[in-house]
Amino acid sequence: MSIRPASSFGVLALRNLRRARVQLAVVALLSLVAGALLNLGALCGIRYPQLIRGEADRLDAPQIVLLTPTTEAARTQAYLRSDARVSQVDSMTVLSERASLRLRSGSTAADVVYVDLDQQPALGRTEILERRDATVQDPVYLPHLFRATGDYGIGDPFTVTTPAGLTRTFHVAGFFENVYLGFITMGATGLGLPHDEYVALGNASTPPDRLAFLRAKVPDRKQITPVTADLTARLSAPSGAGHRSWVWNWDGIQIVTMTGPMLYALSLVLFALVVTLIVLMAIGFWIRGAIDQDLPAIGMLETFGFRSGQIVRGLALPAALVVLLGATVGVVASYAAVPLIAESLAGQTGMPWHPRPDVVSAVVIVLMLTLAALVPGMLAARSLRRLEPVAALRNRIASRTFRRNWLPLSAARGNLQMHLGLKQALANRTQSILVAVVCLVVGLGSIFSASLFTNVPSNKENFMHMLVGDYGQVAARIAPDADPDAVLAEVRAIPGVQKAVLKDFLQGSAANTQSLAVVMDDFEGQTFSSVAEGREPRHANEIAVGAVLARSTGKSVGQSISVRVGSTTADFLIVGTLSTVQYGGDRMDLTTAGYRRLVPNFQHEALDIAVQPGTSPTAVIDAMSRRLDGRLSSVTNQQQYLGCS
Amino acid sequence: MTQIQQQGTVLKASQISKTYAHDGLQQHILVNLDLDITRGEYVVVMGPSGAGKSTLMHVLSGMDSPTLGEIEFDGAAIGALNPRRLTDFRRDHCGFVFQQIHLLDSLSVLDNVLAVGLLGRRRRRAEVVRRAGELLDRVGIEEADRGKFPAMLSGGEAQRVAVVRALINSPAVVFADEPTGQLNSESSSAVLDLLGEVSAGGQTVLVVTHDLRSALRGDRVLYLRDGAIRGECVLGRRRDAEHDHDRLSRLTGFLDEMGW
Ligand SMILES: Nc1ncnc2c1ncn2[C@@H]1O[C@H](COP(=O)(O)OP(=O)(O)O)[C@@H](O)[C@H]1O
Ligand SMILES: [Mg+2]
Repeated sequence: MSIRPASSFGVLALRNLRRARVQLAVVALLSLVAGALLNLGALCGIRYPQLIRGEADRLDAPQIVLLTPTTEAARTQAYLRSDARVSQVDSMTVLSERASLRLRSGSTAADVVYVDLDQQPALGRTEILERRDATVQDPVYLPHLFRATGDYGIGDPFTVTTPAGLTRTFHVAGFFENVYLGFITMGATGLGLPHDEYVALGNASTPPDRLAFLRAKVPDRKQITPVTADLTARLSAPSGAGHRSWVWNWDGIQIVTMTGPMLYALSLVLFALVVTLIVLMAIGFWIRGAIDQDLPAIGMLETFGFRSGQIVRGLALPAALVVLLGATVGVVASYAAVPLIAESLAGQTGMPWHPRPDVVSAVVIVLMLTLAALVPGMLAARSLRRLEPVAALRNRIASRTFRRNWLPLSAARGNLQMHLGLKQALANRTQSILVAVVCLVVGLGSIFSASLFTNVPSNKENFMHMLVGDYGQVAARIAPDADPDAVLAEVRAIPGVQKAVLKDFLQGSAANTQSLAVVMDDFEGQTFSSVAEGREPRHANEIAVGAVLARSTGKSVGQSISVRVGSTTADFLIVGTLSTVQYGGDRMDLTTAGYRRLVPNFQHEALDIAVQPGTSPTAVIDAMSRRLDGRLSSVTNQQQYLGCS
Repeated sequence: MTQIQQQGTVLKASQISKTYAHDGLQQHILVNLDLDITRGEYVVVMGPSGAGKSTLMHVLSGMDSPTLGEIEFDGAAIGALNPRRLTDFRRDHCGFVFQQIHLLDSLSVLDNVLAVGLLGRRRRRAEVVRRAGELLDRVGIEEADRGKFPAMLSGGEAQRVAVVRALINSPAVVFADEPTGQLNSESSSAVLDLLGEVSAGGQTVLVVTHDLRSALRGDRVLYLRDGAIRGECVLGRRRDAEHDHDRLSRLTGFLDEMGW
């Protein structure tokens, strides 16, 4: 048996490996976990957004959609055509009505849009994902979300109840995918009908309203929100009074569809980082332990000309190899969990997801973990380089510092055994400190992971607050012709309602950065405050901005910032910064009066309702639908949508 | 490197001091020591226990740095080398025999030798293996024992393996710290004969010993006490055992003078 010089210390390492079998098994297992978590995180954070963009491209989705009375259609279409930022406009007639739909959790109010499946528009196709072979009576195709949440299966009866009490009954013939009409609780809910059924519904004795469904293509992604803002400002102008129109855009879709995957990605990656940290600590601990035990041998090797890097390599490489293997297995195994995540995300976004194995991110993850595993070895080699061979031969940490003789026995009183034990502990201070640190990290890690496990799937609220700010369990949209303040007063009177506020999420640009504008009064009454510094706005000239926005625009509390919506610009005084990652941190809080400085005839459309502890949101929703049906265009159980409890 | 010219200074220590500070007390181990070692010379260092003999060897070989003073190897100061270069210097020019042997217990006898032998630059494996075999033969380690692990060897056998390891790269200078301290007379003769041959071949040998028989092999015996060289006895090159009697009386006379 003969050996290579580089592997000679590897043989020494082998002995240490045998000694550290349990430790390395733990490292392998934790690397597996870290690899799996990182891979799932990467899939959620990178591949899912790609899926959404890919679907939009595949279905030729427009960037802005608009539902408007047929009387307004021609004028609006002409306006959009005249906008240089819009490259293509397309219009089709749809049937639409406000209705209540039945879900397992109770009924929900929604704007229903019936589309003729045999008449595909130029922009934004509807794609059938699944259909029944045999014909069903009164067929209807539902957005895939209904299937993903488990609310409906093929063949199930499906009823649409109008505020006037009219009931239309269908049977589910299949499911479809459409970028804008695929949601139950947001925007409009699409219901697909074959051509003959569509015509029949239009000729029914009480047919739904005929509305124009406009779609516009805006090639420059940055222009989507400005174009939408300009369009909205026009629509809510007095000439368009009567029926307020419904507008939605690609940016809105992205916020809605990204929240779930980003939340998953964030928690998976955070957890993976904690696990990785433990792996690195374990490796560092092992290498240092092995070095300490073999110090004289290391001194001998250094004397004969082995460099500290060569010596430590024998220990660092096997550890990195263990991480490499563990992480590889973890990455591969993680695909077993993808269907679970895909299913749970489909329940939020309505999009079916079958990601193909991503070799690039898998390789990057495994390499990153393996390289990280080499770091403890590099640190150990660095400290070994400063150690002179003589010191190592004499089994000492550094040649100039003899260990201090703590508690010399000549001066010791009392129990000899205890003194010897104490001396031992003091002599191995670094080891004792390492043990304490590892215990601390493992302890904190398990507390963190335990809280993630219990918090995220069962009660996402804390995370959701960080991501989307303060929200109640129930959200409602006020019908365009209803008086928001009167609706608010009535909602507040419903038993079980703890708090109800008018709160809209709008768009605008702050110092030329596209931002999410949260518009409401009484910010300070929020249960969950995002304020990082200063306070929320109280007056029409005040604003609070996300810390990210503040940093990117170079503004701070006390300075003024100019905000633009459409073509109107106004200056606001920054009274606070917010700690939020909502909309990438580009969020601004404005009072209602403040927003009216930009859009003079702005009316609130969104209601945010917190129910009293112990009251079921469903009960409140039912009461709201009973008392206010007709004046609310939709009522949503947010807790259910966001996957909480 | 076996054919080195016989004249000139290979190692030169100028005014070296080594001081340890411990618990606020300073301990001066070497004090303003000067030493010149000629290429191919066989130098023996003697002195009482704790005199600083091992420390001197460590400082001369770059295993440890002097607190003050300069060591030159072939005219170049080794104190100027960074840790990595110093490591390479030891690899390329020095061989060591430790008092405590220090074989790797996880490697076989042969591999203990090869681990160091294959580390040297410009080494062909077959050549190194052949040379290792020759040297092991020379110190009487049988073919059958070369697959054994150090724990299965006697102290004498282990020390002989360690000597072979020190010589495998044909270093310019061989440092041996009490190489025969644990050996019986038969083993020590094998080791001493080998060191003598090495010296005769032109390599420089520096041996620390308490043993008169070992000291007799040297060209020059230095006596170290209280951190300085108190005297030296030039014995000249040893030709054969027949003249040992004369050398022995000169050495014992010297050591008596030194108060050994
Ligand atoms: N790293 C060190 N720190 C403090 N004192 C040391 C150290 N190394 C050696 N000594 C002291 O230096 C003195 C000489 O040691 P050494 O050179 O080993 O003596 P010798 O080999 O002549 O017996 C001894 O008293 C020893 O205690
Ligand atoms: Mg000694």
